[in-house]
Amino acid sequence: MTRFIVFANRKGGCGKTTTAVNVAHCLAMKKRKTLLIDLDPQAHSTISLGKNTHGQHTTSIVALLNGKKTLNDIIVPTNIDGLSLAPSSRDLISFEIEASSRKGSENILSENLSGTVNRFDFIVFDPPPTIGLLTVSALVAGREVYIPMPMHFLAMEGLAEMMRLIYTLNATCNPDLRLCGVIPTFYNKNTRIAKEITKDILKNFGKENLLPGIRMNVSLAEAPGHGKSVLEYAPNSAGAVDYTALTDSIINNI
Amino acid sequence: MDCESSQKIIGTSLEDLLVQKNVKIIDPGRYESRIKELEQKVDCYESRIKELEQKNKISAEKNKSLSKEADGIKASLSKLETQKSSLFQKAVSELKNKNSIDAMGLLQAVLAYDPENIKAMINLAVVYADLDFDDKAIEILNRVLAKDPNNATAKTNLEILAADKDE
Repeated sequence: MTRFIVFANRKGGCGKTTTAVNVAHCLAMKKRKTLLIDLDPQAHSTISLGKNTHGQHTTSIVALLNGKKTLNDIIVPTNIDGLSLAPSSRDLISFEIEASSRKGSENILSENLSGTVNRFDFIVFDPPPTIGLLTVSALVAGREVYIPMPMHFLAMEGLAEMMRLIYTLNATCNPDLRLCGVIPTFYNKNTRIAKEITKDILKNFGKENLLPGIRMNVSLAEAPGHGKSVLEYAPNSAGAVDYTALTDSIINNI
Repeated sequence: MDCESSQKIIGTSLEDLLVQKNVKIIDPGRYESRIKELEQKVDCYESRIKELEQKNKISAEKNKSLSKEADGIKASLSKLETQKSSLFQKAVSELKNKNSIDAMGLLQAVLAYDPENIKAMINLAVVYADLDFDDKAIEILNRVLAKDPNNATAKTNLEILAADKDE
């Protein structure tokens, strides 16, 4: 059965896109057919996988959301075997502005995916770092929410806010939506703040919801510039090791 | 310098933030056991539904069979009505043909089936009068008037019989 995973955080710069791209690559490496859906108008997942976003609005996720194309029309293969991409473009901004006022527009993505994604083992959503229509759409379509967050107070505040959103959507339109894990990013487990925040997460969400952390690693920042995931760019790096461990954890988190 | 090292580094805890935002985290253990509880309830309801569906099926079959029976009874009743009507028509026809004895038998048959049939009673009174059974005729007409005090035909016929008696 297909699993629908959302990497979400309303705070930018948390490592959300890096996590989405690298986990998607790891899943494909582990023979799980994966579709990465880039819902961020910045299109950073799309860029990280070496795809060009200029003038592609006719074949991006926007065309699907506007009802002009089907999912099969917009999916593109990547150079990673088993990993496909539904690319984004900057036209998502105007779509979000126009559609936000329309009732039920948060269901458009979910409705378009329904019945058409059975061939994939994993659908990975990368929404933007905002609580707007696009993020809500991803959470309506998704089932499992993973929240990448650095060990900072403001990121923890963002985590609490995300929980409020998840619970609201769970109660109103997606009873299957669950928080499945918090992923420490830029992780230095030796700092006091990291220890305290980790303790707080364990206390409030339980051991099973604190996933293996992703250490600070410069290869993670360099890889997108080459249009590659860290597993292609620097397969022996700490980043690659950490994302492999994280992916195993996600796969086993049923 | 005093105990800053004993102060929490993060200041506000995650728990406090969640409370501020009105987010109640359900203890995962309780959540799981609540799910189990609800699943058991669902199982219970599902088996009750199956039970009721079975009962419903049986009732529907019973209903079908009773319906068939009712149709049979209706058909028999309808047949009897037709027969009764046909007997009455025959009686009237015999009466018109002055076959009083045959008419009497037929009218008595109608009344055996439908003892309250006023038309049959009045016609039988006529037959009795034809056959000189005036007393019987008067008796029947009185029965008619007991049922239907304003029956003009019965009243008229009684008057005729009374006048004949006086003569």
